[in-house]
Amino acid sequence: MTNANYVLEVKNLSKNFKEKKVIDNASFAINRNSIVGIIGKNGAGKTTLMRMIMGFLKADKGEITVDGETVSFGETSGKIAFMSDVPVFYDYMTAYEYMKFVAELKGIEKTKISDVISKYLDAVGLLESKDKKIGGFSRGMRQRLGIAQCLIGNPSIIIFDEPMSALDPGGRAEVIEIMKRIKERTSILLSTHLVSDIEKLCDDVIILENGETKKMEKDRRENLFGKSKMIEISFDFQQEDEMNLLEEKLKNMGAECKKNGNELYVIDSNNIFLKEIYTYFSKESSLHYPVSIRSLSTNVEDLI
Amino acid sequence: MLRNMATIIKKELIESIRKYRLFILMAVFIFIGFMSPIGTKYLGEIMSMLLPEGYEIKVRQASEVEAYFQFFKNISQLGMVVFIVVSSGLMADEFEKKTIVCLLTKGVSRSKIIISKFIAGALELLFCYITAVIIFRYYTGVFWSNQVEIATLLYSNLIVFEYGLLILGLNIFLGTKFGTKLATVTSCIFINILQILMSIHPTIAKYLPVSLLSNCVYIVEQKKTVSDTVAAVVISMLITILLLVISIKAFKEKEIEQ
Repeated sequence: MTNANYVLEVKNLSKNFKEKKVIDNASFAINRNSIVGIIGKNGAGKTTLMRMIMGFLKADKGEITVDGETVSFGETSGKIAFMSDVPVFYDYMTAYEYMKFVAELKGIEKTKISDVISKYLDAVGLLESKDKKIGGFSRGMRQRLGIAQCLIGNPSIIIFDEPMSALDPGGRAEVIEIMKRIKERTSILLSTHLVSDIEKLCDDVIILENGETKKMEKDRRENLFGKSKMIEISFDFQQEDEMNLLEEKLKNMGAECKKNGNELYVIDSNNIFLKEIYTYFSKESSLHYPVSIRSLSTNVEDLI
Repeated sequence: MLRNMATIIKKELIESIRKYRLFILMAVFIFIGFMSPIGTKYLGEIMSMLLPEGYEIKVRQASEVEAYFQFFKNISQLGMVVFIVVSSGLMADEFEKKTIVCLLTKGVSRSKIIISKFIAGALELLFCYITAVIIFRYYTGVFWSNQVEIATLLYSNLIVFEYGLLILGLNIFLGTKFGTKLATVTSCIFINILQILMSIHPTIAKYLPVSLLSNCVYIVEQKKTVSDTVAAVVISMLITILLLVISIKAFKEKEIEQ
């Protein structure tokens, strides 16, 4: 029995690849008009899971329903839209031609097609490039076209597989804004490596570990986001005293610190300690600068 | 739902034009349409011109039937080989370039994709073939006054066209199964060669679809009647339909990993 509040329900889904269990009894549900992030280490099975939802891969066991309708292998529901991590198009078409092709397949009325295309191309900032061949598009333009074509036909849920990959920070910010807007009319399931994307976008987070899915609890989420703002300060072998002094100072300020050999790690969830660290080295420390100071990777794989 | 199929057919025809597939196929068929009657008519004179001085060649006047023979020979060899290569990418290209996702993610059924691609390929072949036949018929009219009846012309070409449809069905199946153009072309050519080898045995030959490529000449020469070719025609049509059915089945069972 499906719940009407859920746009997507996955129940007890399992999939083996060459005797290796990739997905193991995965179960989760996505509410309407929500954005859900799915995270996991490389090779955890996020793409496999998404492709099963799309009907591209056959599940060994389990059930998937979209808007109450069962998704079968070999048939893709018209209520789902999908964008892969490297969006592929017919490069000989212009953006307008491709959008028209999609609109016709989605059954949009002929008289409304032109308006629909203009609306969605404009929403992703591609209206001026509508007559340009897709073969000449940059990676960022292809990502945006991928989003635009997903919007046609008002799908119940859009699945994005690494939508922000290979985008620069400006491009990512634009895509994030677009996704926040489209949440008003559809639900989104997206996979991403970047913790900052999850923080800015997702109402819920599902973690895929050892083939199983778990909803990430609030405190673990907060811990994840906190850890994503970690500073690493590397010292030389003979600078242990300086490292200990800095650690004591930061702990007195309320920072969470951890030492590992010649490295000192500081959790900086609220972006207050980095400035203090630079001030310390420029004004207080006899050591004017350590070997290095850097903000750590914000990749999910490094933190879960 | 017919609108979906019309959209895919339209997309295939546009793709065929923009990727020069149709251009190549049309150029070859136009060449065959021209060269078959012209080459037959003037072959003797061309050979005389090429002989060294002092040598003479006596050439009898070529007949219209010989022009038909040349036409069907060119179609079944050059024409079919080019068609095999040009149509091999109908499904295979979509898998190789991963653009199959563009179709599948729009909720279009896999069976409609197969049927639409077959129709698009058939329309391309029909268009090129008719052009070749019109050019050929024009020149046979100029050189020999078109002594071969229209009905004979139509039937003999229809059975060759039917063989082309079988090739198309075969390419769609092989492209779906193997997912690469190279495997599709190689397998298709291998199957054709196998048929030719099997047709050495006369009892089997009359049922093999490949016999249509020689029956067309026998029909024009009046060495065979329509009823002599019916078995091969029916078997060819059934195999074409079967190929589409198993293509749909193979496609529905195919996992799209990338």
